[in-house]
Amino acid sequence: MASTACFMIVSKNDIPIYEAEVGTVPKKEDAAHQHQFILHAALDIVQDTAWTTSAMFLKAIDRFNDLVVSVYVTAGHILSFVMSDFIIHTRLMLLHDSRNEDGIKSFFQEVHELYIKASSVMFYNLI
Amino acid sequence: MATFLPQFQSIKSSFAHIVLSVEDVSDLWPTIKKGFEERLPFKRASLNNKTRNPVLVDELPAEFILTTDARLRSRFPQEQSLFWFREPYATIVLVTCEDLDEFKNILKPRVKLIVQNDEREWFIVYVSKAPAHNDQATKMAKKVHAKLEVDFSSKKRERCCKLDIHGPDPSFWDDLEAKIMECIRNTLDRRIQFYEEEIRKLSEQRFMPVWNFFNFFILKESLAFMFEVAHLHEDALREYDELELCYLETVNMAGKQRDFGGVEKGDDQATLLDSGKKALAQIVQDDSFREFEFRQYLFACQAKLLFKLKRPFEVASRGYSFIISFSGALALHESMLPFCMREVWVITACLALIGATTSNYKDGLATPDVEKEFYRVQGELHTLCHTKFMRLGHLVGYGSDIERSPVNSASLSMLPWPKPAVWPPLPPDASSEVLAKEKMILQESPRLKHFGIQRKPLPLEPSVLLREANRRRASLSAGNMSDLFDGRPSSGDGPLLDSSGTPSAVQKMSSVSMSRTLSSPGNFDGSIDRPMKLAEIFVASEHALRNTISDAELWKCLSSVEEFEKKYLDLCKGAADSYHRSWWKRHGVVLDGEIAAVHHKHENYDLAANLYEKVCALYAGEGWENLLAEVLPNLAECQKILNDQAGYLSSCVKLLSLDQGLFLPKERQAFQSEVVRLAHSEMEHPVPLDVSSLITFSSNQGPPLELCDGDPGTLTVALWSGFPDDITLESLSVMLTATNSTDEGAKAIKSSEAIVLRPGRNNITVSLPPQKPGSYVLGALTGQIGQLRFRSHSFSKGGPADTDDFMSFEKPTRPVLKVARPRSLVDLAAAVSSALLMNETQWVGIIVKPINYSLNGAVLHIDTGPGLSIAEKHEIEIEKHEFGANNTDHSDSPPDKHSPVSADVKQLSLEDGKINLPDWTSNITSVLWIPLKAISHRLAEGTPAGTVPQRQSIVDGLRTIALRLDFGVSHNQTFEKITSQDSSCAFYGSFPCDYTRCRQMQ
Repeated sequence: MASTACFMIVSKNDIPIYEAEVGTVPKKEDAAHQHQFILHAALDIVQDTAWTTSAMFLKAIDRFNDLVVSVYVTAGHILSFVMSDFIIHTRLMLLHDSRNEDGIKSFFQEVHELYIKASSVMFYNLI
Repeated sequence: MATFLPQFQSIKSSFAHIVLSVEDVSDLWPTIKKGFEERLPFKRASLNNKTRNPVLVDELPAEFILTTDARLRSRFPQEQSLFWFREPYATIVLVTCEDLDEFKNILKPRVKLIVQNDEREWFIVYVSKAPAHNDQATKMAKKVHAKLEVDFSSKKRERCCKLDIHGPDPSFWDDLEAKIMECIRNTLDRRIQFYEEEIRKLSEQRFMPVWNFFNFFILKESLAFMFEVAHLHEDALREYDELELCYLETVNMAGKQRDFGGVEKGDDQATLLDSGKKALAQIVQDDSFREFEFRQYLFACQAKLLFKLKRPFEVASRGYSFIISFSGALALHESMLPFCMREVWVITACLALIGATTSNYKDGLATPDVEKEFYRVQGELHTLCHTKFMRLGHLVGYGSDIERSPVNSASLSMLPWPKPAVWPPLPPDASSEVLAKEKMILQESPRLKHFGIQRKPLPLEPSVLLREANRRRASLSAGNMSDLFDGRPSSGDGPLLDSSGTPSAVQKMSSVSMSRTLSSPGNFDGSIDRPMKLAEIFVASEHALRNTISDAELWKCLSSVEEFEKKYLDLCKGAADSYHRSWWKRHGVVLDGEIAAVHHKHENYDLAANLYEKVCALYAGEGWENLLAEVLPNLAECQKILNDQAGYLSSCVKLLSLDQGLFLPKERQAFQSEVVRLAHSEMEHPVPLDVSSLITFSSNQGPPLELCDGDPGTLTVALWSGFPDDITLESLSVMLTATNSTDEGAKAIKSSEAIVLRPGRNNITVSLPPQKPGSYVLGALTGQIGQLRFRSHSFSKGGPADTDDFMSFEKPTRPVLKVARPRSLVDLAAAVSSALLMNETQWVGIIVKPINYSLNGAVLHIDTGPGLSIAEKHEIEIEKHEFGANNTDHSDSPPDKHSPVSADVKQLSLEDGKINLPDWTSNITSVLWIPLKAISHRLAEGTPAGTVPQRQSIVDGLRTIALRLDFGVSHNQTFEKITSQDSSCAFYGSFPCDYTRCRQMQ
């Protein structure tokens, strides 16, 4: 079954630094705006929710008809002492219609690992 | 038990507070009634809640009713147990007696009879009529009171109190209140226990066939009502919550087909805040209630209690969840409900909830967090209502008036169409309405975006309405597609309608539909076999909605485009305001954008621009360029119309600096042409334009330019132009900032001529005047395009301009120029050291030694002083100086093969006292041989130096040569030296002297 999944990495300044349509549904010209719009609006909820829980994976924080927004908030404030301050609260956001929460969580964890590796290279300067 | 429902309802409506019965044994009530009633309502009443914990009720209203009152006398025993909550909570026995015999024989037996019923809570108020000055009567009254206490009070419980009519004891009223409260508390406890026991028994039968929800409901609600009357609202709320859970379980019990309800006239108006709108007896169905009405009834009861608890924010929050959940239930039964019942119900429910919660809410009532949450829910309610309202508007043909923005598109394109069992048919005699709708459709013209931007409009429909409506008509398949698309000129309402999206396709479709539509104006036979046209669908929906909507206000909002837009705007404003108050700035700003779009459409450009600016600032600040690209052209259009040239220019620059893939090349060219047009026009208020996002700069790769102090240079700067076409810069200045000195400001280095920037990377060279020693970095870039001054302070990425590397960012600034500290650049020294012979031409060598500096083009000025001349018949010679050779005396002979200098001798000529040094000497040490003659009229030619016996002083024998070397890139460097020459001594002047000192000598 075709699925929709739009993945974004949003930096600490709420700037999107990576976007990818990772679902199997072909990307529509107009849907990109929709997905971005939904994910951008969901930042309002993330900003409230992130401080109410110690969990990094915030599942289904927002719902838009059949589409659901899940978010993974990195624990940047810990890493900031060790490395530098550029990964404070980076958010990995996924807009999806899948209900496989475990799969989504694993996906986030893998991306987070890769992200840390990339951001550990001092030649990179993340926004 | 369902037969008791009407009675239960009427009791509830007539019973509002606790009843205290008064047994007026001695006809005292009329006399003391006023004093008793003045104590009402009771302040700070202490009661026990359901869990037997004490609760302080601030105000407890009650009513004193005589036991002879008809309201208490006419009850049947069965009713009493069922509606026990309305029975008196205390019985106050009023007595008076001034004679002990009378007390013993008459009063006591009578009171005994009254209080023998153990189920009642009672106490006796002895009223003394004895005047204060009558000691006898007072004593007797005390005796009777004492007797009463002995007979009716016990150690555990004091049941008597005494009221003096002629001089009431202030403590009496406190005593009375305490006794009443004790009675109420005990009665309440006992009744709670009773109801709980009954409810428990019924709950045990939940899954048995005998189970009947009515019984459970009456008991549960009686208990809840009793709590409510006792102002134990929290407990009452808990009862209703439990009742709701139990009801939902009953409703969702599999295997029972129940009537949902919602089909009666007026059901479209939500009653979730009005529990009395429909009598419970009217919604009875089998052994339970109809879901549609009863769930709203339960919520209304809960909301009423929450309002009493001063928690309007909880009403809003619970209400929103209830609407979402109930909307789902409506969707399940949609096929049996009137057309768009679900949408209409949600709209009325949201509006009712917004109105009630807002009017009950006062700012500052709750903690900041709760307040924030309250406004968030208000925002959600407005948005939900807004979405459903747009859906209704779309169905009646106002779709073209809805802004195709991302928020509307996201809301509507994923929201399914209504799913009636059969799509409403076209009513007869609707031909004129269909014509009007067709005319409206034909007049629709997609609003062109500024700059000629053409985009596929964002969809507002989950699927093509035309197909969906026709599919839902009975015995009708998709039909003839050419018929389906008839009368549909505008594109973009669905994937099927505009696969091409090009203007030509739209035009073509428009022309075809126009001819067909006009040729068949009267073809409204309503035949079910023929697919309905879009205009017909609109008319049919409108008629069906008119039957569904009973609220005149709501219908008015859908009656015309103007009214629709007015309501649309109200809802947008409400939502935006609420979101802003809840600190959900993104939600708020997005809705500001919707408001702006309406103002824009109605040519209120000022308001529109203000709101668009907020939206653009948010998206630009957070770097969401795709979303910014949607709104910024609108802002630019408003700014242009408002003649806000500065703003318009800024918007154009911002549009140009957005990701290139977001706009077509010709659109970007249009942005640039606007910038250029404005720049070359006479701007009323020219302002510097910040083009940091569009023109970036950096130094060229490689080491920084190194200059000696005082040297000019040429600096090359790499500029990246984000303009799609070439652009001419009338002037360009690069600001250089010294890194080692904060005192000095940045210095502007101007390019002297106009520069044409090509898209992408450009290398610009600017002439650099001499700078002070130090290290310099690029500060900012300023210049002019036409009349317009611009400024860029953005360093470009070090990599290629078209890099896609998101992770890279500007590199730390590095020096572009280093100016060395002052040092010796050249040295002039004598090549030989011996005295000159008088009156005889001799070769004097001057060693010209560059010190790591090119002497290319250097000119040596030679000025001989008095008593010294250059022999003109000889040429001046220059040769490479060989280091390490002995400086022996060769002054009297020209250089030869034995000389320490090179044999490669070049001859130079002296012109006006200047010698141009050849280029080959620019980087090597060379010797300049000058034929000199020391002139003295007192000595013969060839007199050796040792034959000067009578010299007056050293000064007499001195001869001087002034040497000045002009060198450097633009002859900007000067080395001067004045050296003395003793005719008897060696021409000796090889002391080091830097040119700075020479300058000082001048």
